[in-house]
Amino acid sequence: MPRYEVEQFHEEAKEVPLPRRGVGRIDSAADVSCVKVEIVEYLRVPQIGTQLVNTAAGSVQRGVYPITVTMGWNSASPPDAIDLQVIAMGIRDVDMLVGRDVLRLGEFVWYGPDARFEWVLPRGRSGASGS
Amino acid sequence: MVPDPVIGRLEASFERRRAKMLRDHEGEWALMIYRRVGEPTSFFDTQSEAVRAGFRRARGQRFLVKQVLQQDREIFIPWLQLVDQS
Repeated sequence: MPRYEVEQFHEEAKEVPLPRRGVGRIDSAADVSCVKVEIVEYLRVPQIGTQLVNTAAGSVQRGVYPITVTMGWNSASPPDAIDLQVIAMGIRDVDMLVGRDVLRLGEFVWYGPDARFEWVLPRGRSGASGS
Repeated sequence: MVPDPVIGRLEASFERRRAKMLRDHEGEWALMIYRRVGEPTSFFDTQSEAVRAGFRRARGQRFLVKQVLQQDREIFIPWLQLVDQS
């Protein structure tokens, strides 16, 4: 859920859905990150707009949803949570496509000979924003 | 997904006011909160600021966040394999 909505839920003593863990794929060609429709439905996140999306299959109109994402949630010191406005779509294989709206927040290094990458996102800073 | 009628109504309201908003707020992000009669509109420099204000001000009401541009921008996700083609 978006952290601002969680704060509001707490103020109103409403039950907050548990965070959803998922698998993402880095897509450096994507302008904006996408999540599976099932995820925003599970989190009961309100739609806040629509967006025309150009894909290989043509242009489609889809909903925009605010969410807060933590990458590497299982690490001892995960990066700061990121507030994003994502597109909800039917995606195959993964739960989230991580686009350049997230990639631009950190440093991404590909070590070719070792076939591995390193992705460093901000830590210890509040209010990191993905817009 | 099923079209959201509230967002549809807010989008229609945005369209009616787009020309007027462009005069003073081009490039800014509009926040429109759903009301029975007339939607109050505020403007912000970034999308995140508008969303944050939306949750703070709307108090459980639905709201729309949309950038004020001559024409809506299209985003590109070229390698996306859609499951739903609707």
